[in-house]
Amino acid sequence: MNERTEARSASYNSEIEKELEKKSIKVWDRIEVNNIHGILMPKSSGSKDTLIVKIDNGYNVGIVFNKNINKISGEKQPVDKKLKIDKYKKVEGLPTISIITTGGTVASRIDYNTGATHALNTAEEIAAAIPELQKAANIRLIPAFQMWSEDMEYYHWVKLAERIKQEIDEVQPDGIIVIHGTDIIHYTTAALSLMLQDLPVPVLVVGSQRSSDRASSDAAMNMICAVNFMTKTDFSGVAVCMHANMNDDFCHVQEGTHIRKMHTSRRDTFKSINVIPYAKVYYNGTVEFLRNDYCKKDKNRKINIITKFDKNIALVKMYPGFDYKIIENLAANGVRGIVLEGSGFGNFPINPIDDFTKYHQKLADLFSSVSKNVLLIMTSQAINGNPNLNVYSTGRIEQKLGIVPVDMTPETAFVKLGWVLGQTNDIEKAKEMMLNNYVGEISERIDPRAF
Amino acid sequence: MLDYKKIGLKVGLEIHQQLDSGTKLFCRCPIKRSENFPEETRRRLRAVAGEMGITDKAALYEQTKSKLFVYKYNTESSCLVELDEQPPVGPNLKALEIAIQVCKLLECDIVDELHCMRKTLIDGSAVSGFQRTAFIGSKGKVRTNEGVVGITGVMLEEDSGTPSARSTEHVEYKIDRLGIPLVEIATDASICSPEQAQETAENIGLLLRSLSVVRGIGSIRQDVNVSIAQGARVEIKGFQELEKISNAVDNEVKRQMALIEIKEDLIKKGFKAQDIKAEDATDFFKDTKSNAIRKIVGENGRVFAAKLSKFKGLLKKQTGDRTFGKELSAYAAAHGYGIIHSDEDLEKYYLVNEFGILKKHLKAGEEDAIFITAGAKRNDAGGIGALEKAAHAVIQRANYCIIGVPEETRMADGFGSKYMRPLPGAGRLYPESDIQPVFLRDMAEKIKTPKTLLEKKKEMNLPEELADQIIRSKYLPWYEELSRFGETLVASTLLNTFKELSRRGLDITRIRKEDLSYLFTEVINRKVSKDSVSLILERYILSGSELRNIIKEFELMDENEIKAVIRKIIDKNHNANEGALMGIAMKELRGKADGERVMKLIREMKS
Repeated sequence: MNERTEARSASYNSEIEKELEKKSIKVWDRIEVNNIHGILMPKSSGSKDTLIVKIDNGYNVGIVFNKNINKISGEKQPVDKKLKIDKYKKVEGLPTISIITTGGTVASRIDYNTGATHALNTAEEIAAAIPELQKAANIRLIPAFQMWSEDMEYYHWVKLAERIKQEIDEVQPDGIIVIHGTDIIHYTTAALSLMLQDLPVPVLVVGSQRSSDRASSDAAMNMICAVNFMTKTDFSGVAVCMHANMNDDFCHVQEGTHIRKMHTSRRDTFKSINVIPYAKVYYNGTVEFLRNDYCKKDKNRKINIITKFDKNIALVKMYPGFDYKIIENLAANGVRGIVLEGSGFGNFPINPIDDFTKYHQKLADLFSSVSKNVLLIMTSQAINGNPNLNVYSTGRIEQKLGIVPVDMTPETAFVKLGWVLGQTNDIEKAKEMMLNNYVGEISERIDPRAF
Repeated sequence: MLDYKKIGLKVGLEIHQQLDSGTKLFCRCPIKRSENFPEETRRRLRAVAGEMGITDKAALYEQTKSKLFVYKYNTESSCLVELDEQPPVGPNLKALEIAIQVCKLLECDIVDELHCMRKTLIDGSAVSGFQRTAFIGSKGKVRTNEGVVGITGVMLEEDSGTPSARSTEHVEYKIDRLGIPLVEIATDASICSPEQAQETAENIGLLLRSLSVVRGIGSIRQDVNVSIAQGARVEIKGFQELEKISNAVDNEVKRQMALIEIKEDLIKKGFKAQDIKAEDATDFFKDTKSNAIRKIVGENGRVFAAKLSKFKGLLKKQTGDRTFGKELSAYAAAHGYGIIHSDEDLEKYYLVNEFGILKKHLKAGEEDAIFITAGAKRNDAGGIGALEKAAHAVIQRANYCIIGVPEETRMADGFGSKYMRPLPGAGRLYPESDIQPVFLRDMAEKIKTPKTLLEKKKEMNLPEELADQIIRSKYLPWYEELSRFGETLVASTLLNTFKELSRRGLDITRIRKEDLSYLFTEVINRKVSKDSVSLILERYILSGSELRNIIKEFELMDENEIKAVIRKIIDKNHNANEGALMGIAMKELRGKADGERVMKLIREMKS
């Protein structure tokens, strides 16, 4: 994604900087080098020996630095032609939607001169970027953090949950949108679902796969559908709202504990696991519910906030020839719980089958000893469907070794494990809590249409 | 002969050539045009805030009420990258190589490092809303008989989708072409005559064909920018044939000169531009004898009319290859309608009466003209009548005459051109940060250019016309491999014989290079006559037999046998001259003896 260019604030290397200084040449000055005339641009990419020059037709070119560079004139950094943004005005009678930003491309805009991106920080800016929002609701913009979602962890989920509760308590909006990088949305929605129970109004997490500088970006439609959905229906709960397919026809609102990012780049990357989406929301605001088993909005309902979390947990994926030392080291370093992603129904290589696989017994023995103090949870890397440790002998042995299967996706199980262990030190109590269905995170029954 | 220098003629060329790099520029799709488009993706492209320079909130809101763009595709030629569902991969190094070769052949300075940019496109011809483009070379030159023409830029970029349908609510594009690598070559405006423009285009074309470029219809596009001192820059696109360029430039000069005359005439007459609106004049045509109009009115269509003051006589003035009236009709055509005006032969249209009445109604005076535009009523997405828009476009264009020649984009049409659309604003360029810059210096040094076609032509021992044709032929590679069998023989087989066989409906693709190699070997070994080549190939295609067997049927007679036959003929025909003897001999010996050889023998043996 283009926002990730590390060298955004980087400058030219020290040798080049020294030579430039000698001639009083600064970035944005008009210069001439190797017969090329243009503006010296900030160094944002490319080989360390090249200058980036914007020539008069608007193209950037790279020229190997040459001491024969000359300054033609000193210029100021061009200010991006700003949209004349009117002061944001609330409209009587419209519902209020609070937008909390944590990062991601939806709430950002590009500086066309440098290619760098800036976050949108005010309601005015987002209203200017997506004017349709104002027709449906009064919007408030609350910048919470500005980070890549892969760097988020429980600390940020807790802050986010607290900020959401604060907003709901103080402002009583008709809904909350959380703008979020797409990479770990499914972890965040699982966390918010568990941490913020009995939500009076919906919390919809919205991201965008295609950067918002392009005319084809999915950002605007995702936001418009989210606002329409929250203001036009009685839905409450935590969900994601993004494109349902590659067309700009409708978005899917999907249950926060049953989703996963399933494509690195497609705009319909989020798919529901073991359930079907709650609803289709069309670009024009029409809503078609596909399920009616959701909590209804009730502004008088009080949030039950539980932001405990123990970060001493791990998510470990089985692979053929699995190295038991992974588990050994985790246990030795104080891990309190591990979500295992087994193959198929939830299988790890614990069976000594032949001479070569005799060592698999070590893993079995390890599970047995570790499970006394570390809560071992089994899920499946098949993702869809539920694990089942009764059907095959491997599973039955795993149960005897103390492994507990749960009917959740690995990522949702991981978040729940941290949340549970943050609330109790008693491993038996923790097992009980893992198997208790708090907010529908457990797939008690699987809809045949879900796959 | 016009004095182009005095007129201040300036012509610039922009040539877009598709490169044959195997796969597309920023993905690994094959470079392939598809024949059917079973899939589609539907998008609503949004104007990005600040992009259009729109600062008014209301206007921005209007912009966001965008049309539906439908992209039709075939999975054989489009992948997720074209659908803007995956970041780009690349750039394709082979395409980069060819682009560098283009720079070298045009003697350009090549940049040290390639920085890919995004150029916003507001017409939706790229799914993402922008085109990826990079600047590679500048300060080049191409030589012509009238002097050196400068090359201001060589760019490497993606081709766009092709429009395939539209309505007031949607626009449809086919995207098989999207992503094919293009090299764009821009000349400076120093071209100063139509002939030089044509020659420049031809010379650049010839240089390009020395390289690995896509061939065939649509693989090269030439746009011409023409201006004269008192006129304005006009872009002409859509040349199907290179030969039309000099005609189009010449016509454009005449057109602009005529428009300047119109301007002077209007000034003399005291013309004042007024933003008038066309009137709904349908009632005047209720009883018209014109079939066309009666049909329109009968089907609940409308007729709109307006006065064009001071334009009487000017609408039938020639502006290039068409009258100004016909020129105006193209502005209405952009909205889907035609016009009929008072400088035309109204009797032909059976509209003399109606126009007479309308003239009075619109208060048109002696110096004024009027026009009507008619058709089915249609509203655009904003609810505005398309007929009103068509009429308004004509009025505006007429008003502009007092200012002079408008800058615009025109479409090549016959020997001239017609209005297509306003000149597009420069799309905004900003960095394409999904693609890392490519350091070119080392790579460029190592890249060699092949011999150019002109250089190859110089080395050929062929008559001028054959040489000219063979270097432009797609069979040039075959020629080069087979020329050892006799340059003229091979060239004329590949050009003339093939053309003739094709013209007769025969499938020349059945002839493989190996077949020709074998056949020519037999010619060299005097097993068959070179005169038999075309007959042999024809028989080969038609019969499906093996070439070997067909050649046997045409085997040349043994030299002594030939002499014997000739001896007999000479003896039988004492008084015949060489020509007549030749005729008789070839009747018997055709296909079995080489004509040249027979003639030689006849000469020898007659004496």
